[in-house]
Amino acid sequence: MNKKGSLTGLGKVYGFTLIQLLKNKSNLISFGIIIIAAIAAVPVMSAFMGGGSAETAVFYTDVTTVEAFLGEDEVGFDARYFIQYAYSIVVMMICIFACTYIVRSIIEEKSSKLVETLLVSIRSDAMILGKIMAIITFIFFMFMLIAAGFGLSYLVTGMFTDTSFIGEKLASVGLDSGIINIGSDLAVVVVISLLLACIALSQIAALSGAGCSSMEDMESANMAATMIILVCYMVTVFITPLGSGAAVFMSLCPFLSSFAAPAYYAAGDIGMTIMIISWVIQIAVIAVIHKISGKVYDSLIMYKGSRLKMARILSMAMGRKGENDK
Amino acid sequence: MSLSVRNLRKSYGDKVVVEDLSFEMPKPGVYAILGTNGAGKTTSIRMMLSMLSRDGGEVLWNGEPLTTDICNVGYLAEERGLYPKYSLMDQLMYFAELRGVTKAEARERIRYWAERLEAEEYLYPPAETAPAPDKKKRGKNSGRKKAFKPKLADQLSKGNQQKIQFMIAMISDPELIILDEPLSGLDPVNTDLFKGIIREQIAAGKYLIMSSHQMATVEEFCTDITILNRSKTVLQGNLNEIKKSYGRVNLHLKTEEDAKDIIDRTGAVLISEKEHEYQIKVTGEEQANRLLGSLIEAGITVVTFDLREPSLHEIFVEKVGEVHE
Repeated sequence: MNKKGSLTGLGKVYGFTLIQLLKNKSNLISFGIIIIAAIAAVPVMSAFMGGGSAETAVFYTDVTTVEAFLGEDEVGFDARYFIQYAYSIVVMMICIFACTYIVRSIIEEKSSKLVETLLVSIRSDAMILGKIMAIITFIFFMFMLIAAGFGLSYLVTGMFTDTSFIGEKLASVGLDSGIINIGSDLAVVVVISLLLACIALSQIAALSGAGCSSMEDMESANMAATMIILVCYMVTVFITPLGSGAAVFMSLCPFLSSFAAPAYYAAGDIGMTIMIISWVIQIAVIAVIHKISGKVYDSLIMYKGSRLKMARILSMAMGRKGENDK
Repeated sequence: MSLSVRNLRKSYGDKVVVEDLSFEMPKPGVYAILGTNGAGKTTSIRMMLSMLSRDGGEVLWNGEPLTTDICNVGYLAEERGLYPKYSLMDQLMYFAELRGVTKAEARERIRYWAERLEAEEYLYPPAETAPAPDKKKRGKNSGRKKAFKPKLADQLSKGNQQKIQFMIAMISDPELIILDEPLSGLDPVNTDLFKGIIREQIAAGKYLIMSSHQMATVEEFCTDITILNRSKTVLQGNLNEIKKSYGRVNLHLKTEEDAKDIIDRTGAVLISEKEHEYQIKVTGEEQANRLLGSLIEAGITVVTFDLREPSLHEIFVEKVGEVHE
């Protein structure tokens, strides 16, 4: 009921949703377990792999050195596969977590029957955007804690025992800082790409969630975003290790780019220019999805009935009316 | 201040759900939107609040399109609900903030409404100290007050949830209050509590729009009404004037002796009879007076002779029935 185009109240929804996520015991327990696992990972690895692996590590390091000696300083299949596989798993986990939370949050909002009361104060698109931002913040915060837990564990374990085996193991698959672009710029690239992937996929999840009325529909509503995530994961994991041939195409292709571009950047196949173009394209895609979503959120958020399929939602967004929202 | 609803229209495909709804509220008071199930009441309210897109028409507050930017609106939706797993205080503070109420003001208002609606126990810790814990369980915190565990919505009864939702509607101290079936599902005690608050709001000069199926409630509060049936307005205007236009046609008669034959002779229609207590439909005051004269002439003792205008319930049934025929 606010002025058209106004996002008034978005911040309030963001704050409330974030606080409730942080207050939710089951959320905290789930992530707490993952954080503890991350903290325990290095000491456990050290206990089982640290002591007896020195000779093996030296052997692999030697192989890499021979490759470097022969002038084969390009990133090899193993290294590419490792980077892509590790990064894709992280993107997939973050996106699936975010999408699941968003679908659940929107269906909960609808089933709470408070939507009408909320819509007196806030527009539906601002409400959903606030939720998306809060959930992404929460998920990122939790994954940051997991990463920090792992880093802290590495440092602390290193004070008491030899942790160099981790570096040696990575070097053995060709992950050498001399070849791989590992630096603060990579960290920025990864965070921005993850964020854009999360926002784009969350919007799709939100659209799908808004077309549902009951918690029973949650799994089906999750399917749209999950399928895109899985397809992107499979494509990047299978194609990226094959070489730099498809680097530019994969880095510029919406959705795929979030999974592929940072890995290509790390391997030195694309530069910052392609990376920025990739982000611009993703931002444009996000804007388009937001525009499409904005057209139908009002109807969807008031809709009660069996789950609306994505094709139906899109046809509504394209202006084909007829959806009874009563 | 004034509210003006002009030619609201809404269709879903070929199905018209609201057809040219118009009404005015030039001064504070209570306006009732009545109608059969599916007549378009809730859809009209949703359109007024811009929750649903309109196919046509406008809603003006002081001549400007109604938005929360220019009018402080409170809305109690027909569908009751709260976030089941969030604390009630968090929810109330959230809605207060969304309505632009400062935290300090919100706390004050929540306290006021909690007292007014007798819902303090769900929001605040009890004033008295909790009983001392067992010696065995006594630890370093012994002697302290037992920590207050805020109630969650799913721990409340429906009626109490409705109180919290009513608080949400009133938290911004709105000037325009829209209540969709405000008393449905309440027990008689809480019904009286809500009615008292509605009376207070009327006395405070608020604009109230009420949708209800409880005709007695509407009659109690509303000055003007619109009756919708199958998306169309079938009756509209000031309730007193509408009633006057029907004339005094309802006669409640109680006698000591049997009066059935005399009633029949005057041509009045006997609706019901129970132990010499009759509900009669007359054509007007003239026929009623004639009946009274006949009763006296026949030496029948008249205990009650109450001639009234038709109730809103009767008017509603008649108007809706006309359309169905």
